[in-house]
Amino acid sequence: MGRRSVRDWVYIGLFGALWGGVELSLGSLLHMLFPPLAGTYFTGLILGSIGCIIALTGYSFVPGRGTVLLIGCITAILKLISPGGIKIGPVVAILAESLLMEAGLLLEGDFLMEAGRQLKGDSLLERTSPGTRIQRKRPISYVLAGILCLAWNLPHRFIMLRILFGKSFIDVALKMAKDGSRLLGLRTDAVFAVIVVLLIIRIAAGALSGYAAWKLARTIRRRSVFHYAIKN
Amino acid sequence: MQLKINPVRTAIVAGTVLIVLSVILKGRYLFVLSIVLFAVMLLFRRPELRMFFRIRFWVFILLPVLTGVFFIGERNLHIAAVRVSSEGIFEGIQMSGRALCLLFSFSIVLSKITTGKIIGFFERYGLKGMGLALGVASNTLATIAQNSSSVYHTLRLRGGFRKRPIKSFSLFVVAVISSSIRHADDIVHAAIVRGFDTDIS
Repeated sequence: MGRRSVRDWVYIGLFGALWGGVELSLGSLLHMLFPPLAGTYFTGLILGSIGCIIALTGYSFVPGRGTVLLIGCITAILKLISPGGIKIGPVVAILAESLLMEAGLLLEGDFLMEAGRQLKGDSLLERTSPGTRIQRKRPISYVLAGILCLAWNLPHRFIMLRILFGKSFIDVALKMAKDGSRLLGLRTDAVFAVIVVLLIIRIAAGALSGYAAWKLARTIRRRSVFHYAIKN
Repeated sequence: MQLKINPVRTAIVAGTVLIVLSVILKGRYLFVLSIVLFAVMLLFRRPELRMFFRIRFWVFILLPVLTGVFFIGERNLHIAAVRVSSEGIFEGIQMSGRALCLLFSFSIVLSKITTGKIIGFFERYGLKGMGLALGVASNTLATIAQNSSSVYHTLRLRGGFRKRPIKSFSLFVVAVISSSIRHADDIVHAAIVRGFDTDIS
């Protein structure tokens, strides 16, 4: 992960707090709004998208391997120690999503550029000492990370049910799917078609979130430069 | 010699043992474990037992039993004109018991952990940066909430969210993150002038 400055750690904490804040406030609200079993597919999708945007925006401010994973860890700890209810599911989801985003950023490859692009005398943009190299990713990295992050949302419920209830519950779920499709006069393939449609929705939402994170980071960076230009 | 107990390490070890037991135990042993954990909850974590009053909790716990009676094994029992499976009832109760044990285990373990203890744990094992990040995160939550509220009211008083809701929402997000970054920069400056370094323990 390399050596990180105080600023990097503070930013990781800040973006972890932003994601954690959304999980604690909006998460509780959405869990109340949506029925218990439909929760994962609506609540998870909404929270996953917002989390993805925040974590990837954080990554653009602290470029480097492991940043998104660390932001996810901070969010997971905040969620764990927050009051109210037991949250095994959300914690597993946050950690898995951050791990997948990290994998997405790694998959796309590192695009290294010289730190010479940094603005002269701008303390906010100067993250590394002169002469060192900073990582900048293309929007496609963000999109890929977003897709992987939101793709987790679909198997999450099944994985959590497997962890909590054991192997028997998966057998029950498969039998229910078969019996259900027979009762409704649908072919078993239709169940898989539904899963594919759900996956496509998640991929689209992930791509959109990744791109939104890239755009948001650029906007914030531009505004921060403006703010510092006035201040200095 | 005085024995020093590290609460976070103890919680991790106890949590792991309880989770492994919840997963591997079956039948009457699982039943005994759930009774023991329930007793511990009743003695030390009574407020957490409020979950028993939530519909969501009962849906979660009864789901395996309700599905088990119809979808596991042969339906060999008649209960009020409904044929159910005795094997399904047993399997369903076992699945619910396992989930309940896991929930209780997490609850008991997490009750002993606070932010300060986790920060101390990170610092003790050379992860000073992680401790700093967690400290910043837990202390910044209130500032973020305050900033969000101010930005929201500022935008609303200027007619935002009514005419162009998407544009206003985007402005809201940018403003909240920008102000939080400014706040983070103040923390960084304060830490640097005090000679704080994440590499020095």
